Amino acid sequence: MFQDAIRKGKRKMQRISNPPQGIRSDRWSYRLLIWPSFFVLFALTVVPLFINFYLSFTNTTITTLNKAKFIGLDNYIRIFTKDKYFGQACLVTLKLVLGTVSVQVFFGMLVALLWNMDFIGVRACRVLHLVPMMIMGIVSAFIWRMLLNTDMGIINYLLKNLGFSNLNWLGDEQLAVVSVILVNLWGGTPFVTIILLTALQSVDSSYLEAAVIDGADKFQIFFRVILPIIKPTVLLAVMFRLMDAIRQFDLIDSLTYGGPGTATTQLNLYAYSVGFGQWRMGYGAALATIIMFIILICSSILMNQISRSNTL
Amino acid sequence: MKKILSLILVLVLCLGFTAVQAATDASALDPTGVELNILICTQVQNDDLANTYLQKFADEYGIKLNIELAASTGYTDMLSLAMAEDVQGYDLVMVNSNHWGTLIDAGWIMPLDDFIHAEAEAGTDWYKGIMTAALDACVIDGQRWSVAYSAGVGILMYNKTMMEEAGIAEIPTTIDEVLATAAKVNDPANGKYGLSFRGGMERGITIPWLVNWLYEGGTWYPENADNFAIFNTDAALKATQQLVDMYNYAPEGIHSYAWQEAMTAMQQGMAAMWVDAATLAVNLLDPEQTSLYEQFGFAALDGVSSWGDGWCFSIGSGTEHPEWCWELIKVATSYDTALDQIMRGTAISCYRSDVYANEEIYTVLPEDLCHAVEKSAAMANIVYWPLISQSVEIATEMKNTLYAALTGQITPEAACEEMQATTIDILERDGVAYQK
Repeated sequence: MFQDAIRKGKRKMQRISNPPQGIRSDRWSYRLLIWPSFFVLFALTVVPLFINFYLSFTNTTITTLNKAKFIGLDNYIRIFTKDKYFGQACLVTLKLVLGTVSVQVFFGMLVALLWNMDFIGVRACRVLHLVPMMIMGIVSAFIWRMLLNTDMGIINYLLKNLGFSNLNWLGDEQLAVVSVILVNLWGGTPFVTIILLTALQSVDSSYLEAAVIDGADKFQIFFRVILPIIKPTVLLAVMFRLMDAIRQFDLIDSLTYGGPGTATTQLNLYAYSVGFGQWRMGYGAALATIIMFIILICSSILMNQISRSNTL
Repeated sequence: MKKILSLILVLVLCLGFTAVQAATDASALDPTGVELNILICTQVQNDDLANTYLQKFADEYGIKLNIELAASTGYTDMLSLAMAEDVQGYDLVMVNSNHWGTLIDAGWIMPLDDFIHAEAEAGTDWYKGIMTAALDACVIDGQRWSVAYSAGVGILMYNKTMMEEAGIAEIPTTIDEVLATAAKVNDPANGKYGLSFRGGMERGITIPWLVNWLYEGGTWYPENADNFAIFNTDAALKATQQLVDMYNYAPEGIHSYAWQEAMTAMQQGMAAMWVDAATLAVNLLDPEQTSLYEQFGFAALDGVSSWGDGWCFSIGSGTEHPEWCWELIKVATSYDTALDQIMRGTAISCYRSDVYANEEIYTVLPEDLCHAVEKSAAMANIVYWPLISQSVEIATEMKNTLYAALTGQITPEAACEEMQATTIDILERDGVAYQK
């Protein structure tokens, strides 16, 4: 019996390693068809990545594109030893990333739970909720810049009418960080909501019915049943938002330009201003490389968590 | 069959890329004759120039112009990338003091002396009527690299009603007088402020500092010095102290003000005075933009030199048609264009003295504005940044240090010392000589 099974297994292996002519031809075609996409992806992502990596070891500026010298690790050494803005930018990045991701996921989950309910107009609400996602970051930043204006903005006008004093939203160092997080909350939450709503709708109702029969209340159902099931999706949403938050540029650039002072200058904005504002491209490339590694580390940790959750 | 189909598909994709490339090449080889690529910073006056006068000239002579009107945000990036070595995407570009350092350092624009000398020798009307300040906008090593087109010279814009209500009879003529007047007008409890200006947004904070500094006699290129002076001067310290004082009479949110917000504060009747580019006055005179348009007055400040925001034209060193570019510069800075733009309400100021001699312009512009612009333009110092490629980095450092001084984290003296030390560090790092 075992020998039959072994023989069948061997035949199967032979079929896989030496498939019939039709399948072999298909594979060849598939491989050929993959090449254009592979080539485009390679040219647009891998090549620039290596160029950036190489630039980070040179003293390239816009006026010395063809005369740049290889300076080894000088740019990296300067970043970690002499650059007074780098540490500050890291701290601002940490504040903004933690603030942005946590509030987006928290409110995204709340809204997803709300849109997951069945009430009149829920479909319209879901669509309207997506509007911020359809507005370009730079446009929403300019709109919010007007709304949050300390002296002439409508938000302070409303606060004043409610008896509160003026808040210097974009002119105060602490409040400027809060403002960026708030605008991010408005613009980024719909994305989280969509992902989580999809996950919530895919939860098998039999689990929920079983939990109800077992006497679980709503909180227990959410925390003990729903959340563990949708955990991989939540982590995926966190990962997307985390990467977006680290590499965010347009919104901060237009809303606060990294100010007041350097209060909202996070790593990406700093790298941009060095690379494309001051045209110290070698140094900017070194900063960009560091950002890339930070994103890689964060996303690897989260990917690991997602894999674990899926396994469990 | 599948193999053939996939091969065909790959071939089609490859041909598709080739076709796009071929079309691009074909468009670059337009047979209609001369074709010039022009980069212009979008503004009411500049847009009007591009769409009306330059286009009319092109139609008349049968040349093709590809004019790109780019927003001021990111303009420097776009210009530098487009003009970079081996690219030279534009034949004619609009530049200002922020750009010259990089463009000249890298050899991306050409000197214009031959053209200017030819005009001078021929004694053309164009040459006779243009202010020397326009031709000397950017002089390095005895060579002239640009011709100024729009003169955003610094003038005082003020709200007559607010001044009258505060009992101010004399219009200030120096920065110190502006500050004293601002102190009298300032009434935050009633939402009235003495001054509006560009605050902390972008590098705007450096603009009022430069206005003060230039009025106090500061210059990047002092006489009898090999290189530019930096922040170790009385003028720099005075300018910093004045900037700190200015913040005391400004709206609460001034740290987040760019020029749009500064302008709005004037349009809303919230601020009494603003010292900035004359070109911005067009918004204050527009009834559609402010109901207070009749309340605004204009004056030139007395001073050693006036700050000027000069949008100028330079010719790319890689152009194949420098002579056509020069003709376009002459169209842009001609008497006819200047007068017509002023009469049509699309421009406030220019670098032609002959236009101010024509009293017809007083029918469309307030007389005090014309006089203020004429006076300021004649003594304008357009070089408000050092002409080296490190100027943006120096400006960024200045912005951060000035912010620390304005928020009381450091004293004006400490700010000047820090700006001096940081600037020297930048210059020494890049091997740029400086005045010790």
